[in-house]
Amino acid sequence: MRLEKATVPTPFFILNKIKLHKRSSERKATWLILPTFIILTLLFVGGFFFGILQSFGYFSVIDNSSDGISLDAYRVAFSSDVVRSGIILTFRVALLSTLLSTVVALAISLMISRTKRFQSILIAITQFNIPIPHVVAATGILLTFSQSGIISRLAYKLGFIDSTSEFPIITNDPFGYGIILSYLWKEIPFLCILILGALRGPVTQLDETAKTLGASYGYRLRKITLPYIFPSILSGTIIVFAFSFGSYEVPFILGEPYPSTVSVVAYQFYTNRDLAYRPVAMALATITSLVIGLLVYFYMKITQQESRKK
Amino acid sequence: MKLTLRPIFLGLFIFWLFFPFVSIILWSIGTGWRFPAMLPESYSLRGYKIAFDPSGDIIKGIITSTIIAILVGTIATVIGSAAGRAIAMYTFRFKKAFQFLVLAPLIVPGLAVTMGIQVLFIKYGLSDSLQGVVLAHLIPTIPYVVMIMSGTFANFDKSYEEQGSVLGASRLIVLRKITLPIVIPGLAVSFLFAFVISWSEYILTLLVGGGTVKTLPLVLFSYLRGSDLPLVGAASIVFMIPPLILLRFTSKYLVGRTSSVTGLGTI
Amino acid sequence: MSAQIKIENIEKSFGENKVLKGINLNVESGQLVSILGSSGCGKTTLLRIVAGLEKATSGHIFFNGEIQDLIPVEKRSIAMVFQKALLFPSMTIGENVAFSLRAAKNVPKNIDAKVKEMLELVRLPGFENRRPGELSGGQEQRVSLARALMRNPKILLLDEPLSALDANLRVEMRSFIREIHDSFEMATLFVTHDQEEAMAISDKIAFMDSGILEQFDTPEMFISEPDSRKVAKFFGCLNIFSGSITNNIFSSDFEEFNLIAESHSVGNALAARQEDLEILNEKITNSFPAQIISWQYAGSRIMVTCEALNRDRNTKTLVFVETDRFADFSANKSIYIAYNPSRLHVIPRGE
Repeated sequence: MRLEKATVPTPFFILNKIKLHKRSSERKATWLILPTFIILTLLFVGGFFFGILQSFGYFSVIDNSSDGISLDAYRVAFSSDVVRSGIILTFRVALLSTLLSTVVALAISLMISRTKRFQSILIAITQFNIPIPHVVAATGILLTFSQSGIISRLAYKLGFIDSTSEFPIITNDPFGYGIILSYLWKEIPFLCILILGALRGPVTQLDETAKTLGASYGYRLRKITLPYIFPSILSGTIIVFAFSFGSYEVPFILGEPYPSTVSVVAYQFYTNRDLAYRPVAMALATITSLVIGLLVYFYMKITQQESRKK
Repeated sequence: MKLTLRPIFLGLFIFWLFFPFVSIILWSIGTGWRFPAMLPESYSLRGYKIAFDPSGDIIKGIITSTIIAILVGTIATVIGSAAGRAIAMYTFRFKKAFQFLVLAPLIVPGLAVTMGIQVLFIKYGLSDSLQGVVLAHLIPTIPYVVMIMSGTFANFDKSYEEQGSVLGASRLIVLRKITLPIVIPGLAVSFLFAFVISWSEYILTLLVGGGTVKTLPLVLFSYLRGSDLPLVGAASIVFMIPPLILLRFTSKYLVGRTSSVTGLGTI
Repeated sequence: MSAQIKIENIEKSFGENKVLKGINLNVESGQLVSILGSSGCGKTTLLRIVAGLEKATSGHIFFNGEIQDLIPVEKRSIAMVFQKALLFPSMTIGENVAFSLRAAKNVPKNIDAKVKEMLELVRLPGFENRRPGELSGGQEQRVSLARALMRNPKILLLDEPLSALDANLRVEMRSFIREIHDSFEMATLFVTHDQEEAMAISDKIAFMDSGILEQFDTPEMFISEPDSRKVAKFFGCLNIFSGSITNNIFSSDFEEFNLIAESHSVGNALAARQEDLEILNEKITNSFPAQIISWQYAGSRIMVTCEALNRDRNTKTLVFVETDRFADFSANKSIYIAYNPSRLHVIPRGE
């Protein structure tokens, strides 16, 4: 069976069920969520769903003799070296940058919240990076840390190196250092803002109470502050990880052509002149989403267990 | 011990945050700057001249990006706030499912979704069009708005609105004169996020716009492929300015007393 | 023996705003002192400075002779309870109560037994495993108190702990606080805006207004001998007459009041508490004529509003009399208001 027309898979039956409810507050809520619901369902769910379908061979632009679900795309994807090394690179980059940015952002946020005098200036400086587009961030990192970049010239001036080739390859490198640096540069301020926001809340009163009970800073941090701001850290980490894993711009600018991260590889497949690679691109995209989804799921499960243990 | 180390760490942090800017600025105004010179041989504003050429790509890119980002920012803020309000203040069937729907775009890479939906876009004539790009940009932006505004509305006291109604104000007046002023911080931050995300978006625009819709990121990307670094530098600086201006106006809401960003902490 | 808490010349400004203008106060061990005043008078700020949560702009705090200025909050041995119980939401009641012991450098051995004992003391036996969300306001405050007392501190600081509770509960809880104070032999500072509360449980009251300590006295003295008009008004005296005093006679606008020999010789205001006045049909010595305007119930007693004609034969002065409910108070009735010279009080400071 081959779907001729592109049918939009809107779950009308769910919509109807909601509308049947007589309670006016529910009706009001329905109207409020309707635009968002429609757009996200059509575009996001639709796009995602279609991508999966295409990865199975549907909507093939070239005439496919194979009917029904074809796992060819997946087979190609898994057997491809490009894909395999791409996945490893992506994991490495995403995990490292998420971990590092979380730890550093937490430390910096705590330091900032303890600094009374210049606090507003510090916060302003931290905010500064947030609206900077990732492309610009990547460019900045490239210009600063490349072998002919400013740090390299500083190293020359200080006598550490004698030529450009002696400077370590940090940008466009196989490990992904440049990519990680760029992610850190933007993600740390983002997480800082989240954490600082959480630190401003009712937590300060609990902290004061704990002070009057004789608890030292470290003890208060462990038992009061961190458990309290944990949800913010959690959601921040998830957002950061998902972004690092799926981003295109930064790995493209700061990575090597091979191996590159899954998003770059997927796009390469997608724009390949051989249209048979389209489904492979979709397969890759689907795998990526699944991987991120699973990781996020397990991450939340584990961290919620931890906080429940307490 | 922490007391004396703190300034050092914070100082390093600030230094690291600012350094790439220095690089970009220097590259944007230097000519013939070869390794290992610490400073460019000479300075010129050629990069900026090209950048600000009214018939040039950059100006066109700015206009396109601005239009799209403002549209996306406005639409996302409006419909995202409604959804945020619903989540924070109402209970309804399938609420948990809806919340999941709203958060999913943050986890699933935009590339995956856009690749998938391009077939449909082509079919319905949305590809290679500004409208198409705007629609595509709504996917990553609406979730942020919903999260921020649900946080804002969670702290919102409904009695203000009830008081307005009791005093005889219509729903529209209540919305305009009572609710809006109270939630403006959240709206401002929402618009900021949505605008900046749309402004910075590259791959989605490339896919849907097909290269026809030339936003600033696309222009910058094409320059990066060349080796005209002063141009790249100037373009980057120009690229940064509008979001920073926007930040200037909304920064007090980012980590103020009414920290709307805490909404992002509610998953 | 030096006072357990010594507040010396404390001043505090927030920017341009001077909130405390030089407070001097001593609390002995075993004494419960209320810091009483209306909102904004600076009482909470003062308490927070004693606790170490704020730093004074100038002045010193001593605990038992030891200066506290440079000692951070967590190192001062105080017990503090706030208006909100602030129980840590991620812990059980038992864990909350045990907090200060576990946070200490040397964790004592039998914490569970101590927690059990303390919870029984605050009449919440068996609550160890409950969670903060499950308790009522009064119960939460008792847990907060229990938590604060675990280290057996000599100083107890309470910042309007009962303000968030309803009226009946407040009465119950304040006696409870007094009991706890007595059994632990501490020096207690109790901040409140409720005059009745302060009167009920305090050994002494420190009355504050606009950053100044107006009067520091036993409760009884605030009633019978207020130091200023502000104090007199705050403690419910409705009759404050302006005038001057010569030779044990206070001349007001409408009457020359006979005073007893020990009265003050300076002051331009006379406080005559409404419950110390009486309404008679005939004139006797120490009475003056007046006319009834209206009356209303004040609890189960009657508050009668009367008018006395001033000497200028033109203006009148309002006089309030509180009396029991068995009398004839028809409006416009001409009566005599009798006073007891020994119950009159000349206010030494005129404001």
